[in-house]
Amino acid sequence: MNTIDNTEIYDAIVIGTGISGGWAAKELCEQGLKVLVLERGRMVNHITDYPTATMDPWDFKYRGLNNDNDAKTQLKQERSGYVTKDKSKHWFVNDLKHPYNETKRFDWIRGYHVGGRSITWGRQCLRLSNLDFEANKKENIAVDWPIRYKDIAPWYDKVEEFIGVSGEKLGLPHLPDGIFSPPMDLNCVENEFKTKISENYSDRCLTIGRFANLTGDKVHVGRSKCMYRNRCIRGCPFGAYFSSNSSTLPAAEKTGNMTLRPNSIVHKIVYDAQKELATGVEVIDAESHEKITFSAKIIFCCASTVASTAILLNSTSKRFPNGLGNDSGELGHNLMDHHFKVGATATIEGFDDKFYTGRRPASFHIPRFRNLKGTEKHNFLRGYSFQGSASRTGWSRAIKELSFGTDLKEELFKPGPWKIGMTGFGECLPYHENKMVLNHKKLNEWGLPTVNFDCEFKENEKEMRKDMMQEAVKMFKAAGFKNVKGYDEPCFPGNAIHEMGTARMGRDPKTSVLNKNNQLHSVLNVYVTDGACMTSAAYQNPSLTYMALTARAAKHAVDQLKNKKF
Amino acid sequence: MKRRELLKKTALATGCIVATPTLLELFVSCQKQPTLNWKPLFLDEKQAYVVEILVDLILPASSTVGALDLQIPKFIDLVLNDVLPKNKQAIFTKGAQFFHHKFEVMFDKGILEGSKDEFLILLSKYFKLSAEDQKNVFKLLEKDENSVENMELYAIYNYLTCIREYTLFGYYTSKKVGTEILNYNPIPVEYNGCVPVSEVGNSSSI
Repeated sequence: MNTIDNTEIYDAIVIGTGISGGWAAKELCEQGLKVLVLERGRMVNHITDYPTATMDPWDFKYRGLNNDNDAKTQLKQERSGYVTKDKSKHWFVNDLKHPYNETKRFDWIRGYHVGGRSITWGRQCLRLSNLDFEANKKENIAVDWPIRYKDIAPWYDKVEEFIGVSGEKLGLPHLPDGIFSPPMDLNCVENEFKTKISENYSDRCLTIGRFANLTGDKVHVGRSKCMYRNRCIRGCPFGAYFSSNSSTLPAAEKTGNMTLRPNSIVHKIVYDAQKELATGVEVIDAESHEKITFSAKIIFCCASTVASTAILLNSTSKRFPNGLGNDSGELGHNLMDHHFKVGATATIEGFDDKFYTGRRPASFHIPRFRNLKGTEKHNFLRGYSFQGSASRTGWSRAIKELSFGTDLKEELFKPGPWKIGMTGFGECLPYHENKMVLNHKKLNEWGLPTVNFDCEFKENEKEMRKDMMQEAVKMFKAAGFKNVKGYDEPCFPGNAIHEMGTARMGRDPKTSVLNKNNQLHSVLNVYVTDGACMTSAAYQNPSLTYMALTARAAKHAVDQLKNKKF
Repeated sequence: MKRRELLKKTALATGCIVATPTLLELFVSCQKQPTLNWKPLFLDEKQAYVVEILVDLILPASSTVGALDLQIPKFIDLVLNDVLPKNKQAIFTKGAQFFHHKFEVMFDKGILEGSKDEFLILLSKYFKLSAEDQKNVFKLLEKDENSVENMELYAIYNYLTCIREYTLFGYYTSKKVGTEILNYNPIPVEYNGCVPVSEVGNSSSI
């Protein structure tokens, strides 16, 4: 790794290799720039570095249970409820090695390695619409997005074509259709639910989710169709779902323009007050602790919402005593996530003679139906969707029983009754006081300040949750399902792993950090295109928007460079 | 009967059973009841003996393999040792002690002399409950151990349901059951959302 030249002035440096960084690397390299891509974690090669990809339950020493010693190193990652199992825990950080602080509880779930959380993401790809881009302005909340749907639509097209999104077109104005490969099937019970919803409601519908898993016959270089193993979180040896490792990084690599350096912790962006531009980044080697400075004409911050903002906050100078590009004082503020873990479960009678084959890596989706027209009266602003699935229960249905013996054993080989469940995903408003700051007293093992979170869901989210549970229960009951039970579990910011908003885009440098091209208002060769840029959260899973904004910003950066602006 | 006596004597003589091949062969040759042919990490010999019998009662062999055939007691011991946090280990052990005591009072004999039928009688006392009462058991177990009134009952149910749960878990996630009895299709290639159950058969193991 030390052979990488740190005297060269690269055209661009990309910080981070996750879903945004991968896109920045691909787009900048394909447009001819010499790009240094820095990743704080270890190298992960596509296919060869997915150690659990083909393991069955019996191949794990504890059959997938987490042993107590390992669990102690991932107590905060464990808050996710699913990522620290044996099949995927190597994709998530050791909390003892990577500590952070909480004035209020924040579940910061992180993956430090090449590919980042693009390996483990949920893959749901939903476009934002003008309902979302105009909401802040109409409701006088926070600041207006500096872009509208038409500005991002062609970039959604470009991203969807490349990553491959399966799904169904619905013609909904508030959830624009994209470029889709054939949708995955709903199962019998989900189809029944879909029918009942359309019979019972005129304002909502059910569809299969839009997922970045390949279906149909379109060729994606180096990737093949989804095999319905539903083991995406382990890394896919078929490259069947989109990740940086399977898709964007190989595309960038192919150009010959990319230099990728893992184990490179960027902690500061170097600012030149004369030029009013950034000139490079300061790096600490994660393993050797060696300090290195790399130079470039353009910097893309794609380290993730919190990490990119932490780097900017740490990049202080005489001109920017509160962090690079932080004239507005908004850097680190307006932290958002989606709130979820609220919905309902039910059982279904009948359909005992029906089953399904294959394991579908996708859930059904009930798109937002609240506050679409501005004429509705609810106790909350914005809206939510539901995501869920129906399935036949397996042997674990008997855990909360006391039966035993041969009959039990034989019975549990057979598929059990059907059950269905869904959770809402609700929009969280941007609140200035929801924030992250740096704690310079508590340093990590590299001597760098740690992040402190002070963020909470507030009244609007709490009121929305009541409606989410009620509606979930009503829909299941109206469908004739049995044992309908609503739930509203504690949900803390970060838990949806959709954190965003800490370096928001806006029209006014006095109230926002980034302009309409994702440039720092006051340092135009620094772009932030990960979740930090989000001006509002919308209800949609956000990764598709990060990718589209990154591709759009990369084009802008390349044009600026060609026009010798930097 | 001979085996139990031997087991008892050996246990008394050595403090623990050393599973030497000779001894093992001797056990196996005596009869077909559960034999401790492995060295526990967490359980003591008495506890392991009882776990073997309970596991065999929970998922016995029939026309299909039973939990003992798949060395589930050994797996449970591993889980108890490596997976359960200290506080859960402690309450398990407490439950084992209470359960052993219950047995010895009920049958007026040492636990190592207990027969499978006798354990069945005691297990049934705790497990053969109405659906309603079964729910109450799990409600009780959701409580914090410091807030329960009847510690003995709480600890015994914690113990028995723990063994039952990991017996089921170990059995249905085993390679033998997973590949030979349940439906095992590592690369389905296609997803079909609605097919007759008769075309699929058993549940999927993965």
